[in-house]
Amino acid sequence: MKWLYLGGIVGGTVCSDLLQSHGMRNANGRRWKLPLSIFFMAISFFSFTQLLRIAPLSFAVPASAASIAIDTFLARIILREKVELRRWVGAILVAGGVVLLAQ
Amino acid sequence: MKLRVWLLTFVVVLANVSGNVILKQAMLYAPPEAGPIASILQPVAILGISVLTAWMLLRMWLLGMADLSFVVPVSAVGYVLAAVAGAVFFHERVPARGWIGTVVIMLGAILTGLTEHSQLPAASSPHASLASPDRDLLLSRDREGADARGGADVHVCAGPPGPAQSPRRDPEAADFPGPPSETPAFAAIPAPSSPLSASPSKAVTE
Repeated sequence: MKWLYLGGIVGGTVCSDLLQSHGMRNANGRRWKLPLSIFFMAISFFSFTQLLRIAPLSFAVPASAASIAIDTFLARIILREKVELRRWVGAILVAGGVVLLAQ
Repeated sequence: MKLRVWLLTFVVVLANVSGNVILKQAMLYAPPEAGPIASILQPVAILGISVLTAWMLLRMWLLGMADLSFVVPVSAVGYVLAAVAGAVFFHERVPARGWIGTVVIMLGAILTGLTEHSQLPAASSPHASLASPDRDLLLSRDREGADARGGADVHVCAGPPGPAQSPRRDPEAADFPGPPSETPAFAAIPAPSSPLSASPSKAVTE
């Protein structure tokens, strides 16, 4: 069950970030992308609270840091952002640092 | 512009950390008999939720100005400040590994911060569409359509820009960059049989 909640956290966060980023850059997309992003944010928040009921914080926070690396990867694929090497290394360091900090 | 992005990033991080600290303070001093709903309806908790709502709106604004792959790692400095705030305000113990983590996060954020905050063409720039892949796709579709009609009416596209040629990127085309459809991108191109579509020289000879 905890992996399902973790999927809800990471999936919700990533979908919300992608929709917000794309919606804010395209005026026509704001009508539905921003409300939908808030819906995904709510899924992520709900999943986080439920995960905290069955798993320790030291598992929940580091595991959800995966969204940082996935966000960067999907920004390259879906949003067509130019992600240079320094950004890749930066995102991986940040994700690793969050894992260290939260344990 | 760059200064504006950095200032906004600073405010976003600050709003996130202060919202979390206020919420934590509210939860610490909530009456034990208060349920989950009652505990978030006390004034301090409402203040924390308001600050976090402002954080969400400011972050949306920031995402309109900078790349997602820039905003996410740079704003992770909030994790570091949260750890520091926890140690300072709530006397939480952060182990040595936690401090190593904060240094690693800072290194990652600095490395990302050294890159350009936005490497996409600005949506409002009149030249943005000229460089966009969608524009190339539309032009290639148009050329294919013209080839199918004998290559006679490519010049029709050089008129005033229609909806598909507007300076802003077509969001739907960006959402679904699939294979070119059979429908020509410029549906307003008149059919070859129409008298309007015939070139003047052709009309004279006929």
